[in-house]
Amino acid sequence: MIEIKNIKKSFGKNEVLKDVSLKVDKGEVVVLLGPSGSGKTTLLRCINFLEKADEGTLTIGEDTVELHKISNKDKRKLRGKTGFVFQNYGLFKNKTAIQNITEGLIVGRKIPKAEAIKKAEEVLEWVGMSDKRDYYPSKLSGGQQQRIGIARAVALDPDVILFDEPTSALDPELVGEILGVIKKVADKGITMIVVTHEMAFAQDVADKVVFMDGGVVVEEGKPSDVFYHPKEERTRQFLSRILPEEPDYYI
Amino acid sequence: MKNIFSWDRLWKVIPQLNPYIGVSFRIVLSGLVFGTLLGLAVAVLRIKKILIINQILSVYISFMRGTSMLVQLMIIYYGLPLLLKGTIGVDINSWDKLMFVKATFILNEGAFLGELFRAAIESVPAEQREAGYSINLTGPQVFFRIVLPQAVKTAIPAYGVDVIGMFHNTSIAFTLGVIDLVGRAKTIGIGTGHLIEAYVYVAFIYIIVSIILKLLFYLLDRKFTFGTEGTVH
Repeated sequence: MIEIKNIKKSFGKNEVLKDVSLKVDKGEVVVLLGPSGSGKTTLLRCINFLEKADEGTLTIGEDTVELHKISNKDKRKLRGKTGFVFQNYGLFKNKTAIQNITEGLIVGRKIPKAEAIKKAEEVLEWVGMSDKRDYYPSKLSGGQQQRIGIARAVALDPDVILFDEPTSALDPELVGEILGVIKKVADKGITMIVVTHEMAFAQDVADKVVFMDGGVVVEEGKPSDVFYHPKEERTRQFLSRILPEEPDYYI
Repeated sequence: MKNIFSWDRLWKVIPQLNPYIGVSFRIVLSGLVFGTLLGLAVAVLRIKKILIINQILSVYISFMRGTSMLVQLMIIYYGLPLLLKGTIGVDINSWDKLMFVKATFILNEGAFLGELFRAAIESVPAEQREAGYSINLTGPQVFFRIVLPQAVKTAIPAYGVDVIGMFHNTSIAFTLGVIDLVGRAKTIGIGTGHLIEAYVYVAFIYIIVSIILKLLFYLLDRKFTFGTEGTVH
């Protein structure tokens, strides 16, 4: 359903992605893990054309494009199938909560205004933000902003939602709350690619975990396999630093 | 010395000065309207960083910002007709002197506002643009619906100061013999030997206009708060 093949990307002399391929099936939740600078975020941004890859192909549904010579028309066509949730929320500061959601529906998707507002209100309700309908982002907390950010992506009914470290900018108390909302998105059966450092979340929600380091995919598989029976030494090193030494239930 | 200021003379100069307020306004208005358009064009072209055009613009901007307006007025008044006649054969010597004053204001404002707008547009975080693209807006939609309103909010306070400053600068028109409010005050002073009354009235007009403009920009600023009213910014 989504397939990325042989993607390469350099910033100057720094090769960030060295031939990465990734396949995501419909309804699957894939979590990208890895240390800082491993290329997870760049990979996600290349899928949404926020970064232009040097090489590689991308397939979403029936459409396949070559990433380095994509036309604006194809860009918009494929972007129309994706939603993106940003690390720093990325809410439009000059628009209210509901306008942030309707903007993509009315202007991007050309849905009639009344219908767009109805849809946006439903999604706001769904993320528990109905009472903040007409607030500007500057009046909302980080957690509230990220709920709207998620609502904005969900309202567009995309084939896949890309989450770029959606909880990294939040204070620890709010992380669980936002992860709960993301889990709700996963429960809807929406395909998702999530970059995160929240291991418990990955274990709980992910169908597949992909561990990246130094611009390549080191290992991928089911969370239980990758976390507790990693095949690669590099994966083991990384996990030993963030996972508890032994799972709680060993006693 | 006791005769330095008299209310009688003040009442007398007011009707003599009033007709010249319009001259100052006309200069400010063309500087404001065309200078803003020119400034927007300069800002957008500078951000696009097109080779050669960018270099030309940066020379233009440093000239306008690095020399005094009086020098610019002289160069435009004496130099522009020579340049146009020498290159494309158009004779503009017969132009009204006011036109040269307006041209100076427009070119000067274009440079100052161009840099002001550029800074304001570039101050909008990249993520705002990216979020726009991610919900499938086109480039122009992202610029006009997301970036520009936020840039306007940033630019308003400095823009207001700039317009008020422009109003104070119109007096340089007098060096070409174009009589505006200050010019007229000067001629009244020379003619009657009493300068103070005319200048008192000029100062009064400037204060009124400044207050009105400030109020306008305050209201404009309020309109673009996006929920940040009451917070420090």
